[in-house]
Amino acid sequence: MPRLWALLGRQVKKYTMGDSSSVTEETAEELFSSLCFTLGFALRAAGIPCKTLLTGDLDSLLKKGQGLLSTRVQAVKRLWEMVCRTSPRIQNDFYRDTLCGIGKSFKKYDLYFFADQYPETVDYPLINPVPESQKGILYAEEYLKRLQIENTLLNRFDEKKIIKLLESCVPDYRGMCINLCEQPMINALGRALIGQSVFPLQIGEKERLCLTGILTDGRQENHSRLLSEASRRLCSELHREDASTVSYLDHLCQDFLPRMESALSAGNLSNVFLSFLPENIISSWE
Amino acid sequence: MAAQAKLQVETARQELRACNETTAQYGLSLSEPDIQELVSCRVKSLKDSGRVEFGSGILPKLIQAFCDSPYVSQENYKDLLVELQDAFYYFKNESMDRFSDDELIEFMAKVFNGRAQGSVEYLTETSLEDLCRYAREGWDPYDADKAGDQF
Repeated sequence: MPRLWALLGRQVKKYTMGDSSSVTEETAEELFSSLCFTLGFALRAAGIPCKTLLTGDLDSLLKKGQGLLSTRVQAVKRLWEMVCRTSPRIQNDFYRDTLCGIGKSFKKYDLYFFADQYPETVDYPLINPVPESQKGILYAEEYLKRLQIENTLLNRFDEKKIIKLLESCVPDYRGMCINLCEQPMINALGRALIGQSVFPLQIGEKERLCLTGILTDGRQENHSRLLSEASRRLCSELHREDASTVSYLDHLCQDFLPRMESALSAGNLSNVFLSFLPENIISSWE
Repeated sequence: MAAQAKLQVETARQELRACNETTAQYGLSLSEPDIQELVSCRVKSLKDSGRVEFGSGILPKLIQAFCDSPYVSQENYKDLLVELQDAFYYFKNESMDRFSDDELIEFMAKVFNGRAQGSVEYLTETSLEDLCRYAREGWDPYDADKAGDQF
């Protein structure tokens, strides 16, 4: 701890450029938190044992951590560029603004003094949100990786069908803070549950009757297994059987299960497995 | 951490003892009890103002800036330093750290020796308040009334 305190003292001096002998407790805490984040990152990324903190050169370790973070920032920037290039062409203000914000964050991110803080608000919601425990640029990295999984899934489907489904879900999907991937995946899971091709995305009355039959036949404990099997079939049909995508859809199944069971108990699956709205209703909104 | 704190306190004491060499020419010196009290007051002042300080503290700079003031004598020297130290940390917060240590101390010494005529009360309740308000809200340097001591 004394060594870390001395390191913090040197860091404060750099932060104030030698102009101030003291800082507020809040600033000191933030600088300390950033130091711990960077040192921890250096230890993990370089495979250095933790006991190095007790006897090793902390200034060198800090510098190493900052160097590694700088490299990571460049990698995340390339990931962001790829996500931008491969984004589905479905208009949504929150999606667009979030990606723009992430793009601007690379200049704002301060890896020297506030490495554990991410300087942008990320509004577009993911199916599987990044935990708050992820800090700094690592938060952006994880967010973009998950967004990339969602985009890859969405890009497998016909854009017009996705838009039809989103319009059924929320008429003003362009301006609303909603996840574009969730409802299409739920409908796709529904079709996979009844053994039909996932690509049409449509779940009409006939499909819902089949779903009700399958789900009410078995015991409630089987619902999780059925959804999991449907998820595997979905991944197979989309040719996305990598561990990340499988795990991501598993998470969706877990989150979706209570809603599905609740709708099943109420005897009405139409609010979870949505149908495309008729064209005349959609045109009346325009 | 306790060892670290002890080391910091001892370093602060040593620096204050060293200041006596400079201030002797002005008839000012700090006794060991004075030094002890000043170091304790520093800890309290930092705690009260919610600030963290590394190194030996701001007192050596305050001593350097005020030791040649016509309003400082051996009788009021230690008590004055206690008040100035408190004021310094308080106004570092109030000015949102917009001024460097040297800038703030320079201002304090200029006003103390000038308009305040040796009154810490005037310094803290008038000029420093104005300075910090201007730091937060900005001021027109050409407006004498608004700029106050900054003009």
